[in-house]
Amino acid sequence: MKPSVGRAGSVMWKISLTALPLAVAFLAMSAIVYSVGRHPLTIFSGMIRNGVGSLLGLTQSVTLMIPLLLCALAVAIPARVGLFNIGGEGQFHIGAIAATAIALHVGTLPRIVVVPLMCATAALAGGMWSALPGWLRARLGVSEVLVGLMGNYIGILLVGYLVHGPWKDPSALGWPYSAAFPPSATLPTIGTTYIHIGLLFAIIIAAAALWVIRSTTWGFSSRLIQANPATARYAGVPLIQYVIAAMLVGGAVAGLAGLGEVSVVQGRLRPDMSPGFGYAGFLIAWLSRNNFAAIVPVAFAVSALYVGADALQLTAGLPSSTVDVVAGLVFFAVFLARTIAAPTWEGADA
Amino acid sequence: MTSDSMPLIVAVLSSALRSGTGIAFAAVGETFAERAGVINLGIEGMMLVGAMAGVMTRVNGGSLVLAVVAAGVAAMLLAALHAYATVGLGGNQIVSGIALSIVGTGLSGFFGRPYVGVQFDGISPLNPPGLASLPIVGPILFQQDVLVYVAIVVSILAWWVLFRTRLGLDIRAVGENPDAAFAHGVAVVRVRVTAILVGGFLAGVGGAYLSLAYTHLWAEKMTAGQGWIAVGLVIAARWRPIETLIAAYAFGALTVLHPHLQATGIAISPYFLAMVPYLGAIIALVVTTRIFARKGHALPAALTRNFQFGRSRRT
Amino acid sequence: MTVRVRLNAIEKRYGPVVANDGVSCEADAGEIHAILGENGAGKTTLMRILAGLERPDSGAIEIDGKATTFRNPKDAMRAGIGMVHQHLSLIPALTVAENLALGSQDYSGRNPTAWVRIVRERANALGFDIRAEAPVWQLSMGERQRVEVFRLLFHGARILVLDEPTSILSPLEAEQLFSQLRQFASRGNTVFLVTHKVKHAKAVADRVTVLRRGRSVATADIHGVSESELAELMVGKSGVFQNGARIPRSEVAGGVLLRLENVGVKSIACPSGVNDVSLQVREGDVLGIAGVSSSGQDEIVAAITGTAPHSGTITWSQPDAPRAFIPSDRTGVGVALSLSVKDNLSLRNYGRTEFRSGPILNTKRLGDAARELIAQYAIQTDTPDAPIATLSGGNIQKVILARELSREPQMIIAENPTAGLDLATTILIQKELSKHAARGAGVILVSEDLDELLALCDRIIVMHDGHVAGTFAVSEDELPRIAAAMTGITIPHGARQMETSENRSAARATSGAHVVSR
Repeated sequence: MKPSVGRAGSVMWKISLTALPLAVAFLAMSAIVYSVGRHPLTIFSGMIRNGVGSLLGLTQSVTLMIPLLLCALAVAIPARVGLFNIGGEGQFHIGAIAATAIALHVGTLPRIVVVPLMCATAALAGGMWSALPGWLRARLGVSEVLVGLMGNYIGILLVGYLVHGPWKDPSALGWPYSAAFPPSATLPTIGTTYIHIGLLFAIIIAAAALWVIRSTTWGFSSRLIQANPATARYAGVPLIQYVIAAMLVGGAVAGLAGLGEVSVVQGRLRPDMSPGFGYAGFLIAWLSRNNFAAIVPVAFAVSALYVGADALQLTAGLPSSTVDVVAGLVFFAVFLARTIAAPTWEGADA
Repeated sequence: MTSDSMPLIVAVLSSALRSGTGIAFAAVGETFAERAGVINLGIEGMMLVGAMAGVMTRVNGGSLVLAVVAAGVAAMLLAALHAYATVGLGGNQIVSGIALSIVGTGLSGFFGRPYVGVQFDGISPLNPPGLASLPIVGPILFQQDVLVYVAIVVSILAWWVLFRTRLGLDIRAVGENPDAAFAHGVAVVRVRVTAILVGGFLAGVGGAYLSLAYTHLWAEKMTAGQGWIAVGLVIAARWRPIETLIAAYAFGALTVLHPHLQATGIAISPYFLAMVPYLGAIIALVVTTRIFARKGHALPAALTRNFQFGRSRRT
Repeated sequence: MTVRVRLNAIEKRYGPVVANDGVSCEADAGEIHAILGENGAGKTTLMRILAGLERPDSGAIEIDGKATTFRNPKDAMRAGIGMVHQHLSLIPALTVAENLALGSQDYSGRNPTAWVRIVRERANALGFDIRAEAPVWQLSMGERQRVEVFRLLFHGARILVLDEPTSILSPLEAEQLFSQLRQFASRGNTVFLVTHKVKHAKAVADRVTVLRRGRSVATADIHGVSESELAELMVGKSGVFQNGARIPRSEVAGGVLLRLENVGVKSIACPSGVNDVSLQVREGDVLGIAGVSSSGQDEIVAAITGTAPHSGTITWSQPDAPRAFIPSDRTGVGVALSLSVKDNLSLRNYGRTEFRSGPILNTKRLGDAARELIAQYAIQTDTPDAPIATLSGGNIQKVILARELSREPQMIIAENPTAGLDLATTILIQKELSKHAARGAGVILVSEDLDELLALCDRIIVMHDGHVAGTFAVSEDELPRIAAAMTGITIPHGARQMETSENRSAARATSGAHVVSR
């Protein structure tokens, strides 16, 4: 909140703020890896090779980056009016449900109709899902953090209900899946990869958000609300509309993430589609300080980290939870370092 | 355990107590932290670490008591990181909690892998002769394991600590207005750290209950969101331990209700039943914020606000 | 002989800001010692150091001749020092008895009813009338302050520090407090009274230390100095208000700009709410709103500026004409501290058509406008892009003033616009307000400073407990009646006439006649 002064401005300081905690995180990771009898160096080189060192790794990293970046934007946009959207997980699932509804019911129409319809529905559904906590926050002062958290599980349970109940595919041999999406309900991809048009959406959204914040009256109003809601009210900014709109846009973006996963990566609605995209998105947004330029490379870096760590299951026989250990340690170490540099004594508004 | 002849209500209550106990521990622990003004969103990870540490200790020959204590201590170490980051350094409580939740999930899965599917002697119902076979009260009250009773005692004890001891008064004061409490001579940092550590320990015990008593096994991510439910229940129970215990049992009843309902011909999806606590928490949140804010006590007023010594406050 | 409390050469810095620059003062047993100074002179910092809430960078504290260091308030409490803060430190969600239990050695918590009984007994013994079982949020501000003072005596304080205790009290309540303090001191205890009101220091203190810009400029026996001498010591130069900031205007003002009829606002500060407020402001009118703080002034301003819902009617003759609002909470409302000087100068204007095309901002034009204002109002900043938090309080207020007055407002609402500012800025602000009134703008000046109101206003409305206690023409003769109205005491005959003539003029104004009561 406070303006940065003194050493916080220097480039070396900024670099060491990221580099040092990363070093600490990797030291901790080394100790953990060593404790199960592996050599840390082979593990780390394996992570880099699998994450960015091969065409396959790169492709996977970019694919995973799409939901991560979208979910991070879903956090960063409301954050610019001072809101914490940790309901990304729920908005993701609701977006996926909406896309599936279109695919299952009108999915056989021409692709040129189905794809835009899916995008609009998923965005709208995700947006409505987050507009509720936004509305409760704006009109009644209810914590958007806590309502958003609760909404996550309601969203996940709704998916569970649908794939075990009305949308269960009878030909799935008892597995809780919906029917597969018809080809006309699949987003355009690059070649045979899973890199889909959602990447383009995400980058356009990031660029547009950057432009809105820097160059428009809406952006000025948003910065004012983020800096001091009382001043914004005094300046005549319609706070309630901004709060609801920012949450709605955030939720819509998370809804698109759900659409991408269900339409391209999974090809059908199924439970446990998300390994916690909403929460990872929250941390990515935080790592990039809700900066729409930084958020793209940060999302890619985190994605590469996930992919690299995930591949260790096969290449090094480490458990799948290695991904969480690596990601969690990196997040927490950077968080600690940044807190030491600039404590946020004001706290968040729960 | 639930014989067909048993009346529905008895069966549901009996298993509600069992399936609500893990959450009850975690939620009562979270009540402490939140009453002191610190939200801990890491309890999902802390429960998992506890569940895993309990099994690890047990499988490697530790006694059941040692296993439960180890579970609490392991989770408490994670909670200590949260205390260090938020109370010590003034870091954002929500970011810290979510990051630690991921760390806890990862560590439990990583170190717990050798124990997946391993058989061990867990905590079993006491079934005291005579009492356990009593009609109605037998299944509900006496066909339970010892941790179920411990949870009840812990909740009552938590109420007593919060509302009948000096530490409790300090905790409530610190959660309402740390600066005023500090000015009144309350050791804010010590009180907050204590509350977070107690919360972490109880989350670990809750996790150990799930692995050692409820399922008798360890599986990766076996808490399945119960830590998050605990956060919701604390709100729904408006930061009161006894109500939190009841809310946990109500949640437990909901999770076991489905098969019983199906048997009686009422078709309602278990997924909708499972949504009830979350919806309840949202409603409780709206109601408390609206009605009680006017009276000056809704949430603990300083929830998520950090405290710094000597920081001159802008007015 | 040793004195009870001695503060010696205390220094305290917050980054570049020096709050205390070698301050010394002392007080003996049985003494009421006033710490007098303008807002920002360093009084509160000094007393927070004495109460263990801050650690001094250097300097010494001696209690009964022994050098002491306080690591926290508990240490200070053990030494018998207790502080009542300007913003009361009771916790609203807890009961009075629970608040008293905080920091008490005797409380175990096991038996709440017994504790309530102990509290009641002590209150009776010390002559305090308090509701021990009531949660604090139910208490009025006056009651809360009584509880604060009682809390300290309850904990065995021998040295009482009160920070601006009268700001939330009516004059009558203040007098009650003073007599309680005198009683307390007469039992051999010590009181530090922090105030910026010379009259209060004169009324109750035995000795006075005057602080100015973080330094102690004088300590004197209260009977050895006059009020004007003290005022001079405080501000460094005498005659802040005597130098005629008021610019003579034509006796008959122009048309009515704003009319409030039976306006009511819900309020937390006034439990019964703010009710039945009627007033009007004409072109060139300077209307003062006086009253003890939290008497309903804030709520009325909020209703006028449109930030609080209200009953009754508020009529603007030209609803779209620009208005200026100078809020009393400068850093909490008036500016956004993390934004730049430029952004803060723009934040009421960026929506205007000359600064944007559609939703796209013309940042160049906004920057030019900001630079112009910085030059025009001599705002001291390195660059327009510097965060406004790096500016001094006076310059922050100049940013607000520049932004608000550059809009050529038809109506100016100013809340405590000069509180805590240096003399030069104070005079600048008062001159600007008068200048705009002379231009024909209507001004509503809300101030806790009666002298300022008397110097600038044509009429003064006094608020008490959420309603208008009287409307007065500005003259020295009315002073006693104004003061009485602030306490809620039955308004003397003359003042009542003023009020009815105001009503009458309001009635006349509705029928088109331009008459103003002066």
